[in-house]
Amino acid sequence: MTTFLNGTLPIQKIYDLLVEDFGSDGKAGVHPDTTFYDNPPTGMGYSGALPMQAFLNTYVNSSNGKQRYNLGADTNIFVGQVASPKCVGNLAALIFAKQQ
Amino acid sequence: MRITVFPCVLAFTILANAALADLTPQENAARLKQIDRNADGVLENDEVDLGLYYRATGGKFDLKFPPSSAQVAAFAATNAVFQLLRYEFVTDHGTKEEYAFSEVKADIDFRLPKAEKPQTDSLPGGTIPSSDRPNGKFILRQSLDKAPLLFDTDKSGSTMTQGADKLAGEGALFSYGQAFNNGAEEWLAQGLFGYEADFEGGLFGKTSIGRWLFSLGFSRIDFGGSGTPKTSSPRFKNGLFRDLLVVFHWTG
Repeated sequence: MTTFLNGTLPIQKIYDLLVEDFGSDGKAGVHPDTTFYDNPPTGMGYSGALPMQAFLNTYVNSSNGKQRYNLGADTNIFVGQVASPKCVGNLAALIFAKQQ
Repeated sequence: MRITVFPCVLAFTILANAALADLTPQENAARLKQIDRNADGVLENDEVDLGLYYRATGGKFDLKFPPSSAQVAAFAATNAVFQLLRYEFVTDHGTKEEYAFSEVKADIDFRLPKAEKPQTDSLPGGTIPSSDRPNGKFILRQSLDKAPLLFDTDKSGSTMTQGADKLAGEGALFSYGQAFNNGAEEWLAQGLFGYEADFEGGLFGKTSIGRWLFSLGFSRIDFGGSGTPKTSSPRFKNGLFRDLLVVFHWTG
């Protein structure tokens, strides 16, 4: 609640938004430890960094996405910045850290 | 070609279904016991954290030597994946002081592996408990010389494998044949039925150990059907008992 009042999103909220967006991108059964490139059920089955970055550009780095994830206009999320293992939880942590 | 491909596809389907099948309550409980530190049959929050720690680290530690609660708490304070797994767990199961085994799924919530069966303690140099002593057993062989030795040697893994092959090659023979052109039938039974058992004591005092074997040999062939041959089998004249042998062996 405090973080809401401060204007930043808690990491749990960012995670929920990511699960929603991955669902829109056709990826079901997403969990915090679901990886980007492994095949289901442990991963989402993206074939590489390019399609994963395309997802980020569409749902996170777009103007609508930046507003949704509370990111600054000049802030972009790159897949290479996600800590290893490259999974949804670490992506949520990166977006959480880069909030404006 | 279809005959060759079909079993492969069928086998794959069965394996896939087995992998997706829910755990039985017993298997689920057996896996959860691996993180139940105080073995009280329920999971307290620090035990849930241990399971989530196992999942967040990708199963990188041996569950027989789990990290301490302090180590898990230190990891939980800084690891985003763990914190989100905890959030997801609470979303799914609610906030409680403890969770019953039936509420959580070991494979889905914690990715816990199959539990290893506990090893039974051996008694090196000690006596065999009476409940573990070898009991008598029935045997079925082709002939008396195929029956087990009265004093068997030690059975290592390789000799047991050889023993299995031997059993397949030396087993009693039961066969049935039918000639479709004239309807003749032939029934054949040849072998030895026996019972062997160990004993202690006897003529040489308490320290003697022996084994006795009682066996009954049989060898019979019968003909039937419309095309029954008038002449006998070259091996079993007129289809009657050729021999019926009763043997009793003991040694000590």
